[in-house]
Amino acid sequence: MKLAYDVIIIGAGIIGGMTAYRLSRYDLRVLVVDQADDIGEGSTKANSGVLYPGFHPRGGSLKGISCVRGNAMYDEICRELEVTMQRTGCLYVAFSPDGEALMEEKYHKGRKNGVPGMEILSGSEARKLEPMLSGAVTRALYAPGGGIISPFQLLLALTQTACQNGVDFRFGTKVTEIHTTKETVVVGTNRGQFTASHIINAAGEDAAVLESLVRPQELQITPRRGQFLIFDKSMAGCIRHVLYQAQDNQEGGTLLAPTVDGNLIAGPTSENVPSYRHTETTQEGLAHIARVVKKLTPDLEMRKVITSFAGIRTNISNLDKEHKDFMIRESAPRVLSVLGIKSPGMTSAPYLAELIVQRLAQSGLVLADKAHYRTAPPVRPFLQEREEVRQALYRADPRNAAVICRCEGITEGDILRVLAAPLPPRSLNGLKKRLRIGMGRCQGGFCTGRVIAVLSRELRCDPSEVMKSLPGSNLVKGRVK
Amino acid sequence: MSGLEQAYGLVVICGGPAGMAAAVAAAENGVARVLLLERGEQLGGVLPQCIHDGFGLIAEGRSMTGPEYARLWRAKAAAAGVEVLTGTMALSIEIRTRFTVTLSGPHTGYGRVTARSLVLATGCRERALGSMLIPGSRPAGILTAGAAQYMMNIQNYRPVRTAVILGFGDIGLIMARRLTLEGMRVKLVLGEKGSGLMRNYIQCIKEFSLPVAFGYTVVSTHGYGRLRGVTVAPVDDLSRRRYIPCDTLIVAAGLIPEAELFTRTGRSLDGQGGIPVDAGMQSAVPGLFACGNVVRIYDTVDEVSAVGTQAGRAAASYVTGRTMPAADEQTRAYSAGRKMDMEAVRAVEGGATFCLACPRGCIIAEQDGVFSGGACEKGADYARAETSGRLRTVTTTVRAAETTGALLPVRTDRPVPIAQVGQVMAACRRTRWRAPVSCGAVLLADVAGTGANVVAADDSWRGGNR
Repeated sequence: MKLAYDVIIIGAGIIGGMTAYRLSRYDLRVLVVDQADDIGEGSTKANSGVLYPGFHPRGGSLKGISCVRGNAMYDEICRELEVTMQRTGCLYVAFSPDGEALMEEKYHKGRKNGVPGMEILSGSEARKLEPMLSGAVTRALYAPGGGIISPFQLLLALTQTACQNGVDFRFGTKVTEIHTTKETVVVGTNRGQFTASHIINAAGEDAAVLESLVRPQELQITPRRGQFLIFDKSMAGCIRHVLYQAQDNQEGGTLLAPTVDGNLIAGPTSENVPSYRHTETTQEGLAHIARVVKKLTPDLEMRKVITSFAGIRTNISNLDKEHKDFMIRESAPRVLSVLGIKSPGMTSAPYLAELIVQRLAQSGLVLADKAHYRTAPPVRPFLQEREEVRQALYRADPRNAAVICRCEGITEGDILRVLAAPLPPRSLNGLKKRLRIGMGRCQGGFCTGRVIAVLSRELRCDPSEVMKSLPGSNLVKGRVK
Repeated sequence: MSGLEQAYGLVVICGGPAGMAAAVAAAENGVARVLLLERGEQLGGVLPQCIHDGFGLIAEGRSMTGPEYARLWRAKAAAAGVEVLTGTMALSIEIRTRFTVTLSGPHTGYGRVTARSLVLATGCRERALGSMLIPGSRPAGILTAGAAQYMMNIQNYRPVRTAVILGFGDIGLIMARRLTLEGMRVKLVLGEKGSGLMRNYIQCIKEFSLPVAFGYTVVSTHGYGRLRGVTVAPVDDLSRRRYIPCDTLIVAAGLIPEAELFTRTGRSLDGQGGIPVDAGMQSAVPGLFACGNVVRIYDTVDEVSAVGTQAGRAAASYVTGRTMPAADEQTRAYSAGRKMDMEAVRAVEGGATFCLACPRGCIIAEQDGVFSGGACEKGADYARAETSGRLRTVTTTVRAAETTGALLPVRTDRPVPIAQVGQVMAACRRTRWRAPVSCGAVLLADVAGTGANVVAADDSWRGGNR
């Protein structure tokens, strides 16, 4: 199979998705391939959902600049794509003179990166903003631009809009070869060959390995795990800002923040693991997060935790901290690689995608506006719709009013509409990511069986072929009789 | 409904055993227009998936299966003139001079109803593994006992090949037996301590010689696609780890009142997480009543029906302004069921006989053929019968002849010798049913030569029990 594209993007994570979204407004043939069966199955799937203000990365680094500029670009993106984002502001709190020194260091990094509106507050001023904050906090760095967003809703909106505007997506497609010729690049995959004039390698965990197909490999990208805790929605409003803390000992960048869905999230931890499959949580990891939460907000009820999970980020492991940065480089003519994107990758993504598009233009790609560009409206759950829309949806199909997931208020009709939208889910987790079904306090206790029935009917497969996520993650082992 | 606001005397939220009893009692005691809202497509709440027997032992004087017990109350509701909306979920309640309930469902759409009085009978949910902070991977194959029960008994899904069960909650014990009877392997039932009824421990675990570990917990789950195994360890020494390969972890670690409709009005729950009510099942809000597992977790459905009745009468009194004659004292007779505390478990290991004629579980002693120790005369009868050959009622499902594979709950109409339970199960597995079937219809006469018949434990409806 030979198909000619202008651009092939390898990787349907936040970088690939944002780039596809940016390119979809131009008159181009674009293909996105990903080895997983869905968008955002790598680092994007399990990050904290925080828009970083930009005082963490080294002053003047690509990481720092892209974080501050990317953050600022989200107002427009979220307005255009109807994605919920809240500028909650963030507090970096210190508990000791050592911590205050770290805090001041952050302030100076922030100044260099251009973080707007930073202020240094006393402990009591910080507690006025965040009443549950520990009495032991002595000072705090406040940045108003920090915020929260749902990483998956964001990526879904980006890729659905790209899809609607003609970008092709191929899942379960693993790139094994890249050959450059004079005018084209040939990408070999487990599902045939594709040709394009330009390649964007945004493969996250595999980015360095793919780069080595066209140049000698000098970067090592290795998996680093981050574990998180999620608190029940009854805690909504307890915490108003993204809370970072100056580390004593080995506490890593563990934060506590509200989520746009009304939960609280605490994490991540940071530990190297042998492979990208190692998404399990550990005793030590969960205990660590609980300790940090106790330290930040001693009165927060830990028994309100409803679940824990872990995500893997990509870490460049053979460069020391001083030289590590996000990297966008031409690996070979017309092959652009995006490397080592860990936090704050999601915050930086809009700016990085803009850089990528600029680099494509510089290497000869013609960017002509598409005649009929339009965004894909998100599927909003029936119960969250306005009265008139609800009435119309109910008249069109009564199943729109049939509640399946009690905790999150998701109806059978919502599932059907998501399955009919661009880039439909193929697994229970795919559905869960799009509609939050099963993510509430009962964690799927009531709805899992019912959702399997709907998926098996709509995907026309046996219930035993409905997967939780990965191949082999069958939920049902056949019939009882 | 669509925008139309309908006014009721009483709205009962959720049609499980508590809600059905409350609605029936209110309608029988003079409340005009009682509306009962049920989320499922059939009244009964969790009862239709509870195909085992033991329901109604005290209140009805006989041991019914869940579907039979639900059917009985469905008939009572119909006779009392209760209006029923199935497939309908209450989303929120508003408390003013009248109560407003916002609801959604395929038969009504999104709408509102108002009522003079409200009964919350929303039951409970199961504690999920996530909140227990057990580390490990999150593959397919980790589910609560109730979820497994719904899949197996209603959907005809086999969720398991080999299972470990975490927690000694009643649904977990009952599922241990159910899995075993259907040919799946239970490799271990473990938990910090016993929590279910002694009756269930004896009939579901002991009688099948299933391996148990008290004082143990799961310390890690393994596997990325499907569960591959769990690591278990004693609670007091987590370093003594043991790996058990299995493809399913069933969690039966407790029930939590589902009280969100109440808390979202800004009101608090009691220390156990239930809705605080007075002796007449009324909350701090006049006219707002609550009953069943949303108040506290009960051991038996008989108790739940009794408190439901009490709430329904109290609501009737509130709506009509008439004082009700005192509820009969039956409620009090439900002294708590015998829990599987360690003392009782050790007694069983030592060969003691527990009377299982009711959930109380009296220990019966025998000396020279004389039985004593029961709280009532049933104890001696029970122990005598046990010594002359143990008999058990078999409850299971039968598959429809049609390709839908819909399941019908069935039971033997009398107990059969325990040694023949396997043959009865095999016969049921070979049998098919064709609609229409009504409850009590004989599907298999003289099954396995036991003299017992296998009968339908529910009416077939819409081609299957979904």
